[in-house]
Amino acid sequence: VSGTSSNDDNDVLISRYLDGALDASELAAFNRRIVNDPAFAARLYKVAHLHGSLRELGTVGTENLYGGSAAPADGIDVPLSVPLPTPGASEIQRPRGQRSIASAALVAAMFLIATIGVLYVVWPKNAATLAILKQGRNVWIERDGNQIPVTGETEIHAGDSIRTANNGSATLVFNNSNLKVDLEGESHLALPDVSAKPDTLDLALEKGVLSAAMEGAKPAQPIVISTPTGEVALQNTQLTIAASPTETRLDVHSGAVQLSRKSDGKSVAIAGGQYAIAGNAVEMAALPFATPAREKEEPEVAVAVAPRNVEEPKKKEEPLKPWEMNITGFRVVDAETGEPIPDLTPLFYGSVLEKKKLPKGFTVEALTSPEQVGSIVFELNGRQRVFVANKPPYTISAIKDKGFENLDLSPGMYNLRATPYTKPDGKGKPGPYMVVRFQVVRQKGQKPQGPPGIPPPKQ
Amino acid sequence: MSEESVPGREEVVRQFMKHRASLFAFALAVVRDFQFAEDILQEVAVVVCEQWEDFRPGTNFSAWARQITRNKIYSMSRATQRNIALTPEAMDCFEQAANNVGGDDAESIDALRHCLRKLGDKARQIVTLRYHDGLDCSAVAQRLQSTAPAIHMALSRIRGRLADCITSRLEKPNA
Repeated sequence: VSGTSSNDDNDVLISRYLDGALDASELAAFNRRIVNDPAFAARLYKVAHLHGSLRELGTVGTENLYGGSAAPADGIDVPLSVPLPTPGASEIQRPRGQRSIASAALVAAMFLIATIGVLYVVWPKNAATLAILKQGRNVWIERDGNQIPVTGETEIHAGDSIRTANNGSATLVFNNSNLKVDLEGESHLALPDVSAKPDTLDLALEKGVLSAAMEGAKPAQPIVISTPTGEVALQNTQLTIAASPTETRLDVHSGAVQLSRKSDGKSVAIAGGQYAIAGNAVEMAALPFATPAREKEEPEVAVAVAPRNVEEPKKKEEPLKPWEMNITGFRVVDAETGEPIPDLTPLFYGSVLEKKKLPKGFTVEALTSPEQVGSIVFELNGRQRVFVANKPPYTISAIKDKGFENLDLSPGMYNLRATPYTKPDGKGKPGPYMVVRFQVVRQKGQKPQGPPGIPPPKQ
Repeated sequence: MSEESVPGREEVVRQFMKHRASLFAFALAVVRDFQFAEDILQEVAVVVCEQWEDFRPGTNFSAWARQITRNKIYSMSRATQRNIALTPEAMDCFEQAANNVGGDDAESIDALRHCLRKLGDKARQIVTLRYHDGLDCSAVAQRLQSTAPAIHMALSRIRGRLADCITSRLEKPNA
């Protein structure tokens, strides 16, 4: 869209068309123009979009049109000499069209929500702003009993709840602290009403997965993340919390924090590279992710695994219970050889995968305890891409005759969630899942361009 | 083994909300009446809610919803004995153009809000009378002791500048 004189002429024509001011011959020419000039048809669409958006904002009030600001002296204006509107000019009644009788209550509610969504974006913000929602997709806010779908940068107030859809995500940057929070899909994070607890910023992760990073100076007030079963006081740390009604899993990527269990008040200190689970059916202890020792034992494990695979069906072992399975970490492996890549073993939260230094093909493996579970379900960036691995090594791409299929990730940010299941094909009961967030770049120093481009599954 | 996630009804409804402004623009460009366009969109919402399972994951949601909108434009115009200004051939081309334009409604509205603050006094008067008070161009001209063609010209220039500003804002959000 450019402001050329040609566009000006087109816009006047479109403006007259939208106002119903074209006569029959002009209308016929207008139709021919749409058919013969795709750019003109696109311009009509853009102007109509602006026309509709202006009307939508204007219906609410002039504060929403101009954000309560005074007109700038050097603002956008038009060369039209007009007097100032007389007082009461805006009291003229709008012409009302005929409402469709068929407007169902459900639809009215949807429109209310959508309108509130627009209002949310444009309404002057008076309530206390706790954080800014920097990025989000398929995310909505619950505020004063309303559900407000949002995308883009949005202010988050005290008392808001943020929910993500199963393929949604959200990134929040909190005011007055160095706290950044990433919410995964199917998550629900409630922010407190500040007046209720003035000394502490208490975030309630009702369900889902939250990754938090806090670095630098000590925040002005203590920050606590609570879940249905546990509580974590944040310090300078990077961590991931996965919460369900019965369990909380805390993975600490750097720094050290304490996880408290709500049912009995028991707490455990967890350092970087460790995780712990707070739940009634598991013992709460700080356990390491993948350890280098495991790598050294790899050849022996490989020898042991081969006969075990043959014998196992005869043993009729008891199926695993959900709480007996854990994801202990991730690592990147060479797709051709299946060998782990030392620099990316384990694959930590926040790792940067530099494509230039990686083998031509690579994939990500989830390490489990025990080494064999029913199956592992991988979800990359919400549920944009789902893969089920039934046999170890549990990788996010299919096993070939030799090695694996290349994961083929384009530069971007990725969230990978791995969930163990008691039975093959992602069936049976799920165990506690683990999430890792990593970045793929062509070479270090380059920022990923735009959202991650995930190619379609190859099978 | 792999499987694609299948969006549920909620997800389809969310997609509808996300594309609502675009669908409204499409209907508005054809019927040229705010209220009638809104009525059409409400009917489209009913169809989307009822027939969400017809949407095939991986396909273009806005194109699917726009097709429903087009059908509703025809059926509701017939029912209310309104004429459609665009010929079927022009409608095809316009639909194609709308599918190609795309864009994020929420981001556009945010950018519009930013750009509206840059409007000068005169531009604000016209925008307020047209979009807040709901006057057509002739009534705006009467109110401002001007002429309808002058208001058409002024409004189209304002929209042109706003469109430029929005484009620039979306390209450089911090500008």
